[in-house]
This record gives sequence, structure tokens and C-alpha cells, in this order.
Amino acid sequence: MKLRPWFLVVVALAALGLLAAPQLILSAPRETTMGLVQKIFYYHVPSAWICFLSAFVCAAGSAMYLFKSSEAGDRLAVSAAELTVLFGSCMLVTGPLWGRKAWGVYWVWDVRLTTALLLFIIFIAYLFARRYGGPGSRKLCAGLALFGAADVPLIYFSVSIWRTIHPKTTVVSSLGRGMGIPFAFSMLTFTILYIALLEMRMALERARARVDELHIEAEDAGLEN
Amino acid sequence: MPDWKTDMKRIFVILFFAFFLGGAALAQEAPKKDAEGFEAVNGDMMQSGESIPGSRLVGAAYGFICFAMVVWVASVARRARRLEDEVDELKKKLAR
Amino acid sequence: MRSIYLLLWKDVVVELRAKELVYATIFFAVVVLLIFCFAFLGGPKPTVDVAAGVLWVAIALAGTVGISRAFEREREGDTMRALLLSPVPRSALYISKLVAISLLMVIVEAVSLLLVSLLFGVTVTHFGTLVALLLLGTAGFAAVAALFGASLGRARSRDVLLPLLVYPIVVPVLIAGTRGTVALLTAADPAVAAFWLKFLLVFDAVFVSLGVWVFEPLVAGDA
Repeated sequence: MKLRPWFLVVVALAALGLLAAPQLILSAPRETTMGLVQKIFYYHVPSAWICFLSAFVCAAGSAMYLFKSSEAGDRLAVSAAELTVLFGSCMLVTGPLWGRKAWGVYWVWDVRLTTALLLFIIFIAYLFARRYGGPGSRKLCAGLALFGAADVPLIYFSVSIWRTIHPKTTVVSSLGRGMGIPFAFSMLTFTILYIALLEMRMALERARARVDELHIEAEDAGLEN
Repeated sequence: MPDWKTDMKRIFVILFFAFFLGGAALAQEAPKKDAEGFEAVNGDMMQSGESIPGSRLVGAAYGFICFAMVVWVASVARRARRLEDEVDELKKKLAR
Repeated sequence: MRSIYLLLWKDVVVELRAKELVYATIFFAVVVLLIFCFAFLGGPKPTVDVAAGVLWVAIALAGTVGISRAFEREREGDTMRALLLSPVPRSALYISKLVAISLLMVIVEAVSLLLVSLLFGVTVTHFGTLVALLLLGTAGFAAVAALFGASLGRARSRDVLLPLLVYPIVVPVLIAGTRGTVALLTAADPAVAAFWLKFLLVFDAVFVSLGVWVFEPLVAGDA
């Protein structure tokens, strides 16, 4: 499994970020109404951001695979899909923990929550179909990723009329420096971590493609049957 | 491909420690913060969140993220190991 | 345009001769509705919300059954392959499949709607809006289902894969459909229904164009 040369640098950056983030987050001023629970926000939002980013990365990779029959696109897509589920689960676990304190319940059928859950389910379906679909499933999954990615903004923007109790994204700009800097830092750290993990997963996919080639070569050489 | 395995181990260890040191830092400071914040908060905050202390929720959230990441990295490592075994097998066949 | 019409006519004629698909799907929808009735009726009187949900769930379930059967038939005769080899534009093929599926589902919907209104004692006001809601919802559902149904090809366990792929994507259609229907049946609030109607319109526009765009590469390898 060959990793790109820049990979270790990214890992080191991510590790540094992960080490520094908790200190920064803890030293940030306490939010007056929510208290300590508000600190979930510092990793809930980055998880959500990465989850959605990753979904669109997956869709981009799928489009490359479908229209340009690029194998690299497919590798990118499957790696990003797995990470969408990973960060999506982080988002869906941390969110309700915050909601328990803020709303008194773990879950409400709010627009944003519904959208996030939907995205998560679509990408779980993606992984399932990939795993058990057999031949041809790669294309189907690429289609699924494209439709899934189209689904999300559609609901997200069109339901602004639907009342939402989830904090709006404008909260971010109202943070002020005290909370803004740790928040930005944790967004950055998560993004770097995402790049590192994505590259790691893609290296595995590249290695797998190489091994498959070797199998075929071995077969041609009469070593396998 | 002799070097990726050690690479993987290194990455694994780095991420592992990063998370857990971070977690440890949080664990150390969380009670202090909680005690400090307990005075500042004046009753109305507890109306919805009744009994579960905030530190536990925050801890659970952080813990889950660490757990999920570590499990996922481990699963990638495991899949990589399996591929490695396959390559070894191919090499053995080639040697024959 | 002409090829769309011809392809559509072909599907209709095949179905008129066999009649298997329409009957099977309607029967399936009726059974689903009856199961819901056994579950909800008999106790305290169910709300109208339940009726709307039941209607859409029955449509979604019956739709999947009908679609997977329709493409199974294509596969048995290997006609899909023949169509893909013929010099018809792929988009025409997709659109004709979409319309054919929609037609089938509309027939099922008519029966289901009648049954729901009878069994749950719902009086349908705003009939026109409700029909529009159903039609647009069907189109959205069919846009996704036609794409994945056609491209499932010879994939393993395709009977499981079809709902697995289709349902998560059409969840917005089902949400919009049920919310809109509830708004019409309970509060008789046309404004809310109009909102969902617009939502479905946008959804259909996006998904049909996406479907036309993706259909070609998706089915290309299976021919």
C-alpha cells in the first residue's frame, strides 16, 4: 500500500490539531445559556460539515467514474462514501447528546435532522449495495451517490419555509473571537483529518486494484486457475 | 511493498495517542469547568436537561468520536493486512 | 418524440396482452391497504394522518413490486438488450420507461385512493390538488425507479437492491406527498399543499433531468 509523500505531513498536522483542539475548546468562553454542553458544538458542526463535504466528494468521484470511466474517480467515491458514514455517525451521535440538554429530547423531526439522517441512510445504502451488489453495483452506486447528493440541497434549501428549531448556520458568524477561533481551529483540524483519512482509504483501494491486476497476471501466467 | 505496514502502524499509533491525549485533557479539565460553571448557571438552564450533567454528555460525544475513528482506522488496517496476505500468497506461487 | 411514443406504446400493448402486471400490482396494493386496516381500524378511530401515510406507503410498496416485475419481464425476453442495441436515443428509452411506470402506478393509485377513502372514511376535498400531488409524486418516484430498475441489469440480488437504492432517494417524495395529503385531508389547507406541490415540481424537474443525464452511462455496460 503506497501512500502519497504528503500523507505523513497531513497526518502530523491532524494529530497536532487533535492534540491542541481540546485545550482550545476548553479555554473558550462558556456560552451563557447552554453552559458546558455547548462545547459539543465544536465537534458536532465539523462532523456535519465533513459528512456533507464527503458526500459531495463522493458524488464528484462518481460523476468522474460514470462519465469519464475513471477508475480513480471510483476509488475516490467509495473512500468518500465510507467517510461520509463515519462522520455522519459522529454527527448523529453528538447532535442528539446536545439536543438532550438543549431541547430535552434526543431527537425531533426537524428539517436539518431529517436531511442529515436521510444523507446518512443513502450512504449506508451505498455501502451495502457496493458490498453485496456483485457485478455492476459500482455503476449503480455511482448513480445512487449522484441522486443522493442532489437530494440533500433540494430538501435543505426548499424547506426554509418549514419551521426549524435547529440553530441556523448564521450562529457561526455571531460567535465572536473567543469562541470563533477554537471553532475555526476545530473545523480546520477536522478537514485536515478528513484529507488524511481519505488518502489512507484511497491508498487501500489503489493497493486492492493492484492486487487484482496481479491476480489476473498470475492467472494469465498459469499460476492460478 | 515492505514499508506500508509500519506506516500503517505508525499512523494508527499517532491517531490513537492524539485522540486519547486530547480525551485525557478534556477529562482532566471537565470537572473543573463544571464546578466553575455550576455557580454561574442560575436554575433556568436545568429546566429541560434535568438530571444528566453536561460533562457526561460532552464526554460521551467526544468519546464516541474517538471510538468511531479508532474503529474505522483499525478496520482499514485490517483490510490492508488481508491484502498483504494475498500478495504474500501470490509471491509464494511465483517462487514455485 | 416519436420514438418515445412508440416505445411507450410497445409497453402498453405488451401489458394489455398479458395484464399480469396491473392485476398483480393492484392486488398487492389492496393487500397492503388491508393489512394497514387490520392494524389501525377496530380500535380507537384513526386520524386522517394515518390514512395519508397508508396511502403513500401502499403506493411506494406496490410501485416497487410492479417495477421490479416489469424489468424482470424485460430481462426474461432479453428485450432490454435489444432496445439498448436499437438506434433509439437512450433518453427516449428512459422517458418512455418513466411514463410507462407512471401509468401503471396511476392505475394502482386510483384504486388505492378509492379504497383508502372508503375504509378510513375520509372525504376527499380539493380533489384536483390531491390528484396533482399524486401525479407529481408518482413522476418523481418513477424517475428514480425507472433509472435503477433498468440499470440493475444482471446484478446479484436485484430484488433486494431495487428498494434499497430507490427508497432512500425517494424519501423526500414520500415526505412531500404525505405532508401535502395530510394538509389537504385534515385542515383542508391549500396553501401548505401548494407548497409541497411546488416542492414536488422542483424535485421532479431535478430528478428527471438527472435521470436522463445518468441513464446512458448507467446502462451502457449492461447491454
